[in-house]
Amino acid sequence: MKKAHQLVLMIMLCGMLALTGCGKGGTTDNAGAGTAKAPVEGTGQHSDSSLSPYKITLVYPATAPKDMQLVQEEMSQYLTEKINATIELKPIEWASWDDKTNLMKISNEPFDLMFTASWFSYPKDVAKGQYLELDDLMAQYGKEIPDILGEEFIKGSRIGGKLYALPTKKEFGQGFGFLLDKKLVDKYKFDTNGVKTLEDLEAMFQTIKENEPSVIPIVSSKFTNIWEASNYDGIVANLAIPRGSTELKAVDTLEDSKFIEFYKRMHQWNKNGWFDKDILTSDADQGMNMIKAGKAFAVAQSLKPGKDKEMSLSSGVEVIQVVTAEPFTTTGDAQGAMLGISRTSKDPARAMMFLNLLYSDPKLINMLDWGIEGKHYVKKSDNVIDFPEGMNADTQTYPNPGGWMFGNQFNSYLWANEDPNKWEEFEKFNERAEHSIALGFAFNQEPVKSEMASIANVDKEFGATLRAGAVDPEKIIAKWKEKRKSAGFDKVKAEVEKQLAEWAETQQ
Amino acid sequence: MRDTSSLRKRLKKYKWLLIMTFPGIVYLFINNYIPIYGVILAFKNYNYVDGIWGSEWTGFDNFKFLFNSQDAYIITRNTFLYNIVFIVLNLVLAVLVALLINEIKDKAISRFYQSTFLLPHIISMVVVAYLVYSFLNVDSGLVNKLLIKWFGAEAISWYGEPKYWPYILVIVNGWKNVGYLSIIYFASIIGIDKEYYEAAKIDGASKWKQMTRITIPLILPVITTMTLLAVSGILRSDFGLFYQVPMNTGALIPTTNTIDTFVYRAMIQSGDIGMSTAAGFYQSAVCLVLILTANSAVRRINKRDALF
Amino acid sequence: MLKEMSPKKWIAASSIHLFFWAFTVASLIPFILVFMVSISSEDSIMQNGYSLFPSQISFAAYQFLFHDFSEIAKAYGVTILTTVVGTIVSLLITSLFAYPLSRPELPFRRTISFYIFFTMLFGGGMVPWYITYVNMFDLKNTIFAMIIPNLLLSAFNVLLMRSFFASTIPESVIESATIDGASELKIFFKIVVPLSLPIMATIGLFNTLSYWNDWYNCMLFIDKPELYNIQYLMTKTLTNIQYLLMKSNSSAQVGDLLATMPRETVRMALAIVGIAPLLFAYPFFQKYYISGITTGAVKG
Repeated sequence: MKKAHQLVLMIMLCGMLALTGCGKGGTTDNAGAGTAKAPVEGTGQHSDSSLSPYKITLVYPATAPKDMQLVQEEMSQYLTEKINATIELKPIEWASWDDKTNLMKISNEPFDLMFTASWFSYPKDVAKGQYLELDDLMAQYGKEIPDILGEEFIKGSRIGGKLYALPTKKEFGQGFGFLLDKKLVDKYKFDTNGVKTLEDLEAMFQTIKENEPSVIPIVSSKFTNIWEASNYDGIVANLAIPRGSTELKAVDTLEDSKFIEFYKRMHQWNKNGWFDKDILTSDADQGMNMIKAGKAFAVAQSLKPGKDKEMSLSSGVEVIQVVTAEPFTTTGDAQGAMLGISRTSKDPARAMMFLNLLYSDPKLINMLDWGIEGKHYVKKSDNVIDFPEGMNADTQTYPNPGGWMFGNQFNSYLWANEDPNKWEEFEKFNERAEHSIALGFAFNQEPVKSEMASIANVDKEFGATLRAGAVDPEKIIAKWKEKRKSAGFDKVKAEVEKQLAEWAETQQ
Repeated sequence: MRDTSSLRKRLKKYKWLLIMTFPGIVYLFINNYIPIYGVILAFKNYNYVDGIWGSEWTGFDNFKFLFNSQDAYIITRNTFLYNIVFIVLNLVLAVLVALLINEIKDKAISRFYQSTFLLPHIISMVVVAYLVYSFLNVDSGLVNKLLIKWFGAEAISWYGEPKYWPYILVIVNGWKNVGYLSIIYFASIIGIDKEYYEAAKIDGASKWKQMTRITIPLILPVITTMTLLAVSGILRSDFGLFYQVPMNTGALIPTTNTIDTFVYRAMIQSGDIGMSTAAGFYQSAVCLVLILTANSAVRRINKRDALF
Repeated sequence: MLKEMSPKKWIAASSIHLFFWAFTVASLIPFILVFMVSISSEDSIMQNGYSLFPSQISFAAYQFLFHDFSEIAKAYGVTILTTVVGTIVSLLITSLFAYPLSRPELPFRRTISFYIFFTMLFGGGMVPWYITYVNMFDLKNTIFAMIIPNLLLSAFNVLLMRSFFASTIPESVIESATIDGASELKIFFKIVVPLSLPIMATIGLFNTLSYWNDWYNCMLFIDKPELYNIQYLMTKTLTNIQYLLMKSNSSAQVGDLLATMPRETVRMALAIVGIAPLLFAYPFFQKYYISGITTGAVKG
């Protein structure tokens, strides 16, 4: 019997050894392919014969559209003229994005550019070495980018002072407020202009509660998330820098009096019956549904110019937005949508040239966003487009992959049913946005990842209940703090303070 | 230990039987044993540049997050207790259903029952989660409507009350699996040689006696195997049942958090492959110890019924 | 029939039926509910929640799913092909593996059993497993990727089948066949298989279920839309709706689409489209649930 077990073991070992060979073989080939390609002076200019042909691969989350091949050819033709490159569009389904891109990264698959974001594993991938540092490349091949994006945008994208991906130029920051059912706003003549305080809102909800027994004043606990996001620059695990703070010091929101006061108020709101009964499970999407069904009045929403129009259009019920806080820009917002150059790129210089074009060349970005003129859209005026005759959202063959993912969205055409001044509004919005003092600081979780993993469960357990206002905040906060402490919160706090201090030094 | 010559003789005698096992052995080797080197990730701090083999060793660091907080005890207890209840309840009910289906003489009715009992199993947990929600939500849930209408009781906020969930999860699990499991027992019951029952009838044994003296003893090997296999997964849990069915509600965590949901929640942010591998390794290792114990206990009673 | 029964028997029989009816209702109602929701109008769901009797019938969810019919037809084709081929091959390998292990005198019986069982406990995780199939066997974007990895042989099924064989095939039958000079293969195919039809049908059913419901392999190994199977197509449709809603920044163009798109009902329609054909598979397996084969017949 023993012998037999040994035999099995032997076979296993042999197999593992054979694989060791394979595994090592796979990792060696990416080191050589660096930036050894011939340098080019300034890009975005006409065809440069000193560049050898190269195919750029762009990986982003989307469903492959029917006419992708056509658009790809058209783009390749244009890119060949510009930087002697062709392009391979590689959309990956949202459903399989995590697994598939993870495997691409682990198996050293060569590709050039990949979509990433702070909410989409950007910090983790940087910590694990997936993306190349871009400062030098940008200085050499992406000269137009810094002017287009502006210093603050680029600063916000850095991790540990270094740039690993370039953000899309779009709204820079989040506004905060509510979407309200227009019918009821008109009926009770609510004033929705200007920034509203919590007291103003309470008056509205009170009116609704008293006069419309079948309507819930506000659905879903998303409101509290929005309130937190507009009042704090959250770093990690309830450690945050209060908005307007002038020193780089993280406070624990669970000990912050403003925070506790707010949740006492939410508890009162809940007791008043202003929330929906299913607040523990309902989400913002359900909120819109309930407004549509005439069962609810308000749902909280992070705002940008024209959000109410967009939501009215996509939900089929008219809503108006009421602003509760001016826009606020944190590192998380700056890193909301970016493109990074992979360590497995065979020609990072060319990838940067392509990025440069995405920011500076309207023709290229519109091809990527909307397809081919005359076939996928027709021009109504200089920068306004619409469907060609006989085509609609349902029958189109090149649906937009998501213009917010690439380059300079302000160069993207607008649709006939959109506000023609959309991009001007965005510019104004960006100028108005208040920047967090910690903009550009990104916390590296690596040193405390074990504690963070335990705290994630603790936060989940208490966070939602507190946010729903279902229980007395003081009691739950006490329990939360106690459990969090045992999960290693003090260590995380010390690490945050240390990293903030280090970062502050570099900002002098 | 037998000497080599007799082993050689036995090998020769059972040559064909051994050859029959070959495709399976080769398949498992490729599908399971070649990739097993991945477990070393549990002891490494993985990064893309250095790859699986080149990343630095970190000892047991990746395991720490499991035992950092008081949750370690709760999640292990939850996983363990739920599984024990599931194993016992599902076994008793599934065998009962199988025995009773076997008593139905009308073929068509019997088949109708068999097919409908399988239905819950093929509905995915995500859909089940929405069905449960439609029964339990406060606003328009069926259960609350009945509670108010028939019993005049207050509506219950089911998703805010962890104390009900052990029962809810046991019911959902049983509803989903009993029918499916009963098919296994039913198949082994109809495989029993009819001669046994004929003999029993001649002796005048009652139905009840036939069940307890013939049927159950004869399907005992299958029951034992099923139970041992279930025990070998006692630290694992059905992610859909514990995560999706409670709608990932924070308030329910005290009674619905298991090792798998804990790890999933812990990994949403960091997504660290080393830590998730470590968690899997911990589950496997504990299960290995348990199953070795259980198996040797079964071996002491009846060698043929043991797993190995 | 009932008249012939004694009262005691009658009570026993009717309580059995009562039990079964309760169980049947519990199994059937949710399934019907899923179907009814899938044909409700989106508005009626928003107003009243799920209901067995929707106030307004609408097939919008199915229209939404079937607007590209060729896509769905192809996906069904892929699923049916992989399920049929996979189930047959899997059943063959599983039974060939399980039967020898049911024979107590097999050399290395314990070792091989442990070799199988060990795979249920420990695994190397998805990454090395994927790399094995892609680098060593080049399965990416082939139909085999939806047949071979993980699904072809389940350790659980082998061990279960082994104990089935051990408990239902009398040793005397095999002994007498061996004495008659029959080879092991012949014994297996001519005696063991016919005696084990219910078991074969059960394991075959399990295989069918796992092939039919698999979307994971398709998601990992398949990039070409023409090779998507039905479950993955359904899963991905659902996820895409969710992301469209979440990231509806470009909704100027898709706004109208989103406004009319069924959401709640489409989820249930997806479930129905995914599982309905399975319902027709079960009666096929039930054919083999025949009791009454006696070993005497085989012996003779």
